[in-house]
Amino acid sequence: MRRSIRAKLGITGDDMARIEASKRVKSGKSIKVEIEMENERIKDFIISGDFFAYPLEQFEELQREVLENGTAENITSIINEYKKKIEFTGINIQDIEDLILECLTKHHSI
Amino acid sequence: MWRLVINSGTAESNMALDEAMLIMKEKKTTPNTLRLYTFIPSAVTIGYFQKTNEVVDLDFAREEGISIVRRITGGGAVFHDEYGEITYSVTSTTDYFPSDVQESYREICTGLVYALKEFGVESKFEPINDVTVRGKKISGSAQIRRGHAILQHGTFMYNTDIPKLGRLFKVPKEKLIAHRVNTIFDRVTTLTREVGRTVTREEVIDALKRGFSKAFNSDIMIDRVLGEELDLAKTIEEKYKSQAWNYRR
Repeated sequence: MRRSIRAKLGITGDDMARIEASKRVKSGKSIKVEIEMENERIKDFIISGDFFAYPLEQFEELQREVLENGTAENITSIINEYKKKIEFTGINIQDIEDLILECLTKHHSI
Repeated sequence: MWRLVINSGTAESNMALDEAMLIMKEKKTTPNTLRLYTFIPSAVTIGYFQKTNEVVDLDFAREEGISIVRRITGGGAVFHDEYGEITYSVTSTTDYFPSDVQESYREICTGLVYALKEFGVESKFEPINDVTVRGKKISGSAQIRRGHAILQHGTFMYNTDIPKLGRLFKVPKEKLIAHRVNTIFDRVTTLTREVGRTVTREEVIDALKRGFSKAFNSDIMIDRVLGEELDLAKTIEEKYKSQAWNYRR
């Protein structure tokens, strides 16, 4: 059973897992978060969708910050740091936080 | 007084020129500009945050010789049909439009609504970034701001090949459900379809020019692209030609 769940989530090795979570928000815009975990660390992290966000530089920095330092415990504080730095249209920064936490929860429930 | 630029080019050069105009505007060296342009050959642009392989049928695009270029603006994928679509871009200082992003979309899109009215077609701006006719999308726009400069560009489908558009894009079922439609054909329309005759590019350009002039409450005079803008665009174009940019997500 455990093996089939891991396969479903795209786990490629003993300590690696690629997890994704997505949603379509009320505005009709979509957002998807993909996280690749390796040995309990985030190895890859992508936010994608048809939403709007600017400045792009701040958005990229948010992605980098989560990639380099993100854990289930500090995601909220990282997101809070960028709340006033990035203007989103079509989605809310809360949507990003929720999806990241959903991915990390899925990872820990494997 | 606004400057009007009418031209055409490849997807890469078109996106590079829009970006160059935004950068130059940020430096306050250029006039507020309305640009009306065509993609030759036809191309797809995808939103900055989109994953290329998730939104475009890459095999079909390859078969049709349709290139794919990532924009610096967010939003969804757009099919720029050489024979049935005109793209507009508005580059201006932010103080010309409402600071509220949604309101600025509405104000700029009013130019499209006025242009459609010239053909006897009633349309409306539908948040976040669409103009619709009878509930069907005829135009979608995307905006970015950099410092005190704003770039908004968008599509105007006057005779777009909708079946081809339908094959190019992987539209998730949830999106159709969200818009309460069954197929992309229920979701999208063209000016030609709405008026029941073939509308030409020239007619559309004239109507858009007058529509934006009315919406901006300003004269719009045709003028050239500055040498500095072209030089900068040439440098930026390399990015839009690269796989690293176009497939970064």
